[in-house]
Amino acid sequence: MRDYKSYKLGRDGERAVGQSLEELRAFGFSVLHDLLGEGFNLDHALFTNKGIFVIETKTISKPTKGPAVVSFRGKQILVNGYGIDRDPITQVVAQAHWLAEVLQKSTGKQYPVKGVVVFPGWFVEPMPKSIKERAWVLSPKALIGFISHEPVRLKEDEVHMAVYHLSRHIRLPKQD
Amino acid sequence: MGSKQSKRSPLKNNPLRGPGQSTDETLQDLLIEKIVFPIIFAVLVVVLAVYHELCATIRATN
Repeated sequence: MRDYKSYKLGRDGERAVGQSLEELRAFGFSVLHDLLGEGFNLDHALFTNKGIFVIETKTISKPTKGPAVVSFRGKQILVNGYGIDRDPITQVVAQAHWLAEVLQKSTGKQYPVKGVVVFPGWFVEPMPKSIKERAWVLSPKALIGFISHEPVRLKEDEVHMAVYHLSRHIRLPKQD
Repeated sequence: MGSKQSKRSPLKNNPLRGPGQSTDETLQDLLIEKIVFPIIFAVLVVVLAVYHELCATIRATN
């Protein structure tokens, strides 16, 4: 039953973040959800002219009372002062590498892919530089602000090509 | 150009996935494995026990 509740919480968090990412289409961004790799999945991928962002949602139930704060100790993420089991930064960095590799194989182009970990409903303190260089750790609402401060890295046709190739990668049936 | 490809139905391709779809599928599997199957098994055991008891009662009354 505990597994059931934790999966349900995770699914609801992914859906909520997915819906907020859908709203970014108004800014000309494209979004794909639940990309399947070999034994893992990417929660969301956001395609913009500032780069491609792999988004990993970490949904943790908030305490009934008191603050809900994500902070940092060195390279570690703390949730209300406690460390979390699996390191989501390592996970999202690996996912970003995988996506860059898939796009490179498919298009022949090296795309800038950045990993982002989001904690829906939690206040996320500013990241130290050592973490920011590897991946962003944010609340979902802060994502658009961070992206807007990035320089333009891709032309519109390059963004469309990445979305097209990845959509085909998802849609074409697996060859056995 | 690509006449073979144009004849292919787009419905045969996998659809794009929705947010949380993998987690939802895991959740459904968990629901069937941990809740539905045990309930079906328990109901089956009760039905068999009642049937056995009924047979024994009928045999005893005859």
